[in-house]
Amino acid sequence: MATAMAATAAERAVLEEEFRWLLHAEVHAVLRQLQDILKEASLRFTLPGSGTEGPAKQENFILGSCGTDQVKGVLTLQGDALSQADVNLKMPRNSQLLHFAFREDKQWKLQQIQDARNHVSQAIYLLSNRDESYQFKTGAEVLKLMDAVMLQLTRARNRLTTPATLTLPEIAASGLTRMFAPTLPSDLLVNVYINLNKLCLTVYQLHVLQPTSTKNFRPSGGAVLHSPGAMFEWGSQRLEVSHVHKVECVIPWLNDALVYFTVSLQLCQQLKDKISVFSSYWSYRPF
Amino acid sequence: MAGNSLVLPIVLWGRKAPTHCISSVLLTDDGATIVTGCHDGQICLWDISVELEINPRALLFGHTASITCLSRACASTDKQYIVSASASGEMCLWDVSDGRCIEFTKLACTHTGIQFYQFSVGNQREGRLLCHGHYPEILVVDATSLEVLYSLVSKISPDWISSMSIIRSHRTQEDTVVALSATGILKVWIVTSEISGMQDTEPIFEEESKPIYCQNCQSIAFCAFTQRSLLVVCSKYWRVFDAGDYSLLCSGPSENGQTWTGGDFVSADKVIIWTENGQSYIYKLPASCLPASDSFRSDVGKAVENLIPPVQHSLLDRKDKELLICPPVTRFFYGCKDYFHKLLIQGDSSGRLNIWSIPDTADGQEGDEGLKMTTSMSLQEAFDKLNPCPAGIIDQLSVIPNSHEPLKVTASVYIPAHGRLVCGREDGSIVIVPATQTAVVQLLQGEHMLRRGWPPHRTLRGHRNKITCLLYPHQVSARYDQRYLISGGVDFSVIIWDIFSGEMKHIFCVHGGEITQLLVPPENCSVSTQWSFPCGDWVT
Repeated sequence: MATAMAATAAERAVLEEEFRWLLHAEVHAVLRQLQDILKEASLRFTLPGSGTEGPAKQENFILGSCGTDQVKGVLTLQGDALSQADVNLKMPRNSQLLHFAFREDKQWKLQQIQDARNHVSQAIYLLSNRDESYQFKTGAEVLKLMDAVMLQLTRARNRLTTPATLTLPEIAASGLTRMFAPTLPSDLLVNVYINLNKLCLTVYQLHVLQPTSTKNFRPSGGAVLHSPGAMFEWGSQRLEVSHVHKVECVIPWLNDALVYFTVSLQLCQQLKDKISVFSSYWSYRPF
Repeated sequence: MAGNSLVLPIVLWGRKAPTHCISSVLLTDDGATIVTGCHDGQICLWDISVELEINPRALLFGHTASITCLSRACASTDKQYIVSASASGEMCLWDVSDGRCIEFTKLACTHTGIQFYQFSVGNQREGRLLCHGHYPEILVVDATSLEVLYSLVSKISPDWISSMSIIRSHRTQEDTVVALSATGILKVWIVTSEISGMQDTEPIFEEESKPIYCQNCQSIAFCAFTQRSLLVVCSKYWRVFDAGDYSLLCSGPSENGQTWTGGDFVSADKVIIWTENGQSYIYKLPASCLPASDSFRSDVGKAVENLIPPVQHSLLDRKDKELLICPPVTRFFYGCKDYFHKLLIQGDSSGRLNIWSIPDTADGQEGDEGLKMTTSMSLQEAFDKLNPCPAGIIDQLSVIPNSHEPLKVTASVYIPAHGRLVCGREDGSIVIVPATQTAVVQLLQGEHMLRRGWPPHRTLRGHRNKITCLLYPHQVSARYDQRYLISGGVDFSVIIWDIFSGEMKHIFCVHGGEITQLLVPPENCSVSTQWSFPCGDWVT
């Protein structure tokens, strides 16, 4: 039977030597690099009050759009939660300036950041038990480890890049609406989320659909950002979105973290490819 | 493929057992079945006899991602239901007796642990599943419909829950749920059975939130013997707490730098802790941890790092066993209903189950070799023991002279229209067999199997090396002629065959590299791009 590649014993010996070097030297070098990068990434997500570090630093982000200044917000991010949200709204109809802020001592947790941080911690934990002193016996072991680490990193990245799709009733019912002082008027809805490396604040202006209205009522489904014309039922009223304002601001450390995720994923994939090359040579025994 | 009749799938296993890289393990309440979930999403049911003989019985398919946790899901003793959760958020309710899937749901979040919570409302027994995972709360799910009913939420620093334990109170209606969050904060919820009556239930907030600074918690176990202690196992140490006020009673380190992955109480004064390598150690707790002793709680408040020597440790002889590609899963089971064994069950990546029966009088001396494994069985071993041995469809055609290993099939495609199975092999040959006819006859053993040339087949030779992909384009899109079969291999070539005549119609030799995939372009593509052969980074 024609053997696959290495026809001669000498070629096979060289291949095995290469594979041994890969498992014992190269894999550990890559894992060390990965650990360093992921530790840097996790430093970006400072944990509030863990151990003796004290409260996490507060960062203020000014959200606004360059075009109009209808909505302006100053959001204070502390770790994974918003500790303050100062929102200024200029109503188009009467140019009235409305101002809202979080009530005293209220925090709004951004679950996306906490999830991303926990996934990174899981990835670091998976790598922490595989330091220099650990001997990898087979290539399959390395592949399994890389798959597990890549899964965590992909999940971490996805949590930041895909904010939750909420329906308008869900946004109205969320605790965020009740966090403000003075209380938000019933024709305003506010939503905050992370999209990629940006902190986004969306304000929906609503008007009541009269029962005599001729408009065809179609409640809209879930979306990250609803557009004007979206309708929903809330309480006993039917409401329609008349204006949508979205302002955002880049969070520098989230940007760094995302870059680290991408680099780590690349490193993992490259190591997997290097190991997989050898699988075609000896498919008949566990490599 | 729509039809009015029920289609029953039949699986024919060959000589080689399927891979089963075990990711979770469960022993049913009656002690008769071991359930293992694997990283590919399959669940295996193993029968275990009273003499602890294991035999795999069934493989359940349904999940699309690795199984993260298994739990029992039925209150009554006549039915054995289990629930499984996968990494993609799927939850399935299975009947263990016949392997039927009773209920299926898909949530947006991954569960890492599920525990069954049973209570009686009047004379009705209700079941709930308490789930925790990659979300900052504990979900209470109905055990029959798999609907999320309500959740246990935290007000103070909410975070993912690493592990959880339910403490049943025998005196009051209120049970306690103790959980440890990812940041090392112990959280306590009070759950009453009367909640089940309410229709729309609000989330329940925690009673207590106490930081106990346990990083990387792997498991929490409540001592059923003393009803008073909690064992928390973290990756580098383990701790025993008083379940009354959650104060620290004693602490144990790691053995030889190994990482702990879980632990449980074996008796009122002994704990068993297991490591990532599959080793387990039994420790005898000092008197300050035992409610029955006079010096109970005498160490509370002091700095505790007392070294407790292990009483016994289990040995795992790995010299002749398969190499593992991921850490094994270990769990301790103790039943007080139908069986009285204290079993430590371990499942590993080679599809093997190892069982240790922990004796009650376990006061071994230091010089002892350790606890021997009681029984061990792997899927491949079970397959090898079968008589007559299972026959795959093309086993007779895969014999290589002077070799024990059969010729491997490296790619395959099934053509339902003609009932033919096409197998590409590692030597470059393609074998076409009438699948349905062969399968029907394989189920009935007889002299026909010894006939030369059985099963009736056709062999196509043209590739010089391993076949990597096969494609029957007519199956994907009717615009292609039903005669053509395409094959790609590591010899850099793509061959078009006429399957009726067996002729090689055309060879495409590419300079790019090994063929990795064959694709049919979508319907509205132009005629000039009828075929796509990605290989390496070259696509035409």
